[in-house]
Amino acid sequence: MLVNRHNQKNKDLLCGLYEKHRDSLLVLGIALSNDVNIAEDALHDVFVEFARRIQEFKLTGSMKGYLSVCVANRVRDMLRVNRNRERILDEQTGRSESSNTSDPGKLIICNEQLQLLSSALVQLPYEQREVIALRMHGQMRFGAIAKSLGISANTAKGRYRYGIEKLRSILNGKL
Amino acid sequence: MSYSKKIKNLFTQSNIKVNNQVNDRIIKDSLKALDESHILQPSEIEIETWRIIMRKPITKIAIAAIIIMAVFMSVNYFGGSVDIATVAWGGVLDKVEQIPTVIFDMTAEITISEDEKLVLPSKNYVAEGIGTRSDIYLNSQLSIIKYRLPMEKAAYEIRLDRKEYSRFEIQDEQASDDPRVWLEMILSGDYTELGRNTINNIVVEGISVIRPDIVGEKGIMRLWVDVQTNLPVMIEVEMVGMEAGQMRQQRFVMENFEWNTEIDPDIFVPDIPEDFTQRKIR
Repeated sequence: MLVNRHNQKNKDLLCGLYEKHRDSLLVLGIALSNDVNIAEDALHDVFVEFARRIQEFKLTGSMKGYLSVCVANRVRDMLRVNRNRERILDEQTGRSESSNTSDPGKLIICNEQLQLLSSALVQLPYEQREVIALRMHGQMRFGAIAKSLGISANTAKGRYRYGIEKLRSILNGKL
Repeated sequence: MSYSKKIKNLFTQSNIKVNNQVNDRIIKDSLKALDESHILQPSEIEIETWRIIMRKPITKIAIAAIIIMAVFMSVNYFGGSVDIATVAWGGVLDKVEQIPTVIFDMTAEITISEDEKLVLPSKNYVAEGIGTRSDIYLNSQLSIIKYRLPMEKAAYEIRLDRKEYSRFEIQDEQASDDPRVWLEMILSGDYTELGRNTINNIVVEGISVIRPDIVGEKGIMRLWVDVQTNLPVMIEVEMVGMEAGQMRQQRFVMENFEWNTEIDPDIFVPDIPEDFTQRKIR
């Protein structure tokens, strides 16, 4: 009885969090990957993993920040896996490596702002991309970003600064 | 308005809804995962009981005494110092990330049929701040040279066997053929310790990781690390992957690592003979 009630409470919590953050986390995933399929898969994996560990979960900062970091980490893993798989297949067959640009079929059709943002962000190294996204989208402090990524606050600030500078030149005149 | 504010506005004005199909899948899978997490497995119950026992102060004192006695007895029994070197798994990646260069061999084995395997050995060079180079051999002949040069934002593939080359743009700074990429994937997973072994006369300790998201349901990754230096000695990846339209067993072994070795920067300059033709990227 007690277990069932506890279980129902966790289900409500999980569904509530999902409802609240899903769309915003999808935007984050797309901004980081420029690929709606990757973003959806990342969202899926993050919530499934969260559900699996909900009993031992202890929140120490903002929920949005926590979930944003989880999505950013998952997107990073997925991009890496895709690159490695491509590379392995290329080596085996001697096929040409693709230029890492997204398959046109995977490009997203959504609002102009998101398209502009994700196509600009994808031109930055992932390390800079994630700091900018976590700062601007997750509204996280540099200290919290640094802690979650295992880097120093100065490194996080540096990545942010360089990234913004690059975005300025990429988006020159478009904003 | 500051430029950062304008970029921030892009985030806030971007809106997209998760489609219903994806929603259903996420909710269904998450609730299933939640239900499964509530079912305690027998082994977990045993672990929980063990934790309760271990929490008792008297148990801790008794265990500490047994450990001290065991170490003392083994030192005396073997008549000398005990080799207590062991791998600090948490420090492996940190250490490797401090090292700017590495040379290693990789062998890719693809099962074509029951009695046929395609074996592709390669020599690989990684230099931080410069890039990577892979010399790939087909039938013992150097046939393909690949360069990945993040500073130039370009990659090259020279097909010596076909007198062709191709050049393409790349966007990411970190080369995917850097063994650190694999190390990170292995060490970030829930690994199982494999104990001690000897590889090329080096005493190593190993771990294995099953990560279906990377190597599929039947895949496995293993890492063997030198107990003395805490540096990787061998990385093994076994997976079933799509190859020429079929799922085939594939095995990759990275070994003979030369960490922090001097590499002539000139080897990263693509050397394309004049009579080679540029191949169009498919």
